[in-house]
Amino acid sequence: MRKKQLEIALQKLAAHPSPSAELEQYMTPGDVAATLLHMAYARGDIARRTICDLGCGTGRLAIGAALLGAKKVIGVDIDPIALKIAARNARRVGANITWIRCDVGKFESSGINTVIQNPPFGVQRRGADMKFLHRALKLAGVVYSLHKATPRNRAFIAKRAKELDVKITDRLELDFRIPRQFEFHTRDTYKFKVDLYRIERGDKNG
Amino acid sequence: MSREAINPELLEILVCPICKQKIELKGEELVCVNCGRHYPIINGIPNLIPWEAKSG
Repeated sequence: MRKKQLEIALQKLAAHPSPSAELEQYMTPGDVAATLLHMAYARGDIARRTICDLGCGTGRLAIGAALLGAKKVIGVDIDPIALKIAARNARRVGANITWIRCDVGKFESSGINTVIQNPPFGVQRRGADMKFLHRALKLAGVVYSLHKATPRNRAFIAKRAKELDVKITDRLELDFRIPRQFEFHTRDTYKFKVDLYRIERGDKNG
Repeated sequence: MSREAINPELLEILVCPICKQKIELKGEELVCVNCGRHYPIINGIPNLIPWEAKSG
């Protein structure tokens, strides 16, 4: 599936009817999701692999991975309403995904090859993004993760990667646009920069 | 709401979030083979939130 086709397919998926500001629930924009998924596909991290989407929300990344030929896909989220919509979205496009309700920080699994995630940016709850990143690196040898592109964040993630003995193989800056959806939003759209990271654990083939 | 079966292959990679041991499908629940905690499956979606599990 070409990147543009994937982006269009993902844009058509249903959104959350009442997103939570505290959980920072906004959908991954279709173009950003398609870029992440195509990069992962090109690196051999999707096809015939077992994929987990942490904080999957309404399922855009998980469904995209299934459409690109993942062997198995698991979507994990704490919010049952988001998961219900995710399951409906997956059925509509014929994607076979297992949805699990769990706190991302507590989720355990064996046999996941790749984590793909768009974690909360940690704006509403400080450190939420790093909680996701730590969990992702416990679960899988390869992680694709989106983080707000600020000098402070970049320095912090680079430092953590060193401490955890993991390797940032790629960092790609992308535009991230979200429509107005929370009360404290005063503009129709918000545009900011995010970094797409690909991070590898040293033992990924072990 | 249709109920979807849990793919048995997925049970091979899901583990109990508390003791990290295997879980098996028993009726409408996932049950940890080690600690016996029960995790409900609601509308086809397993709930593995540790503090919502029933002890075995």
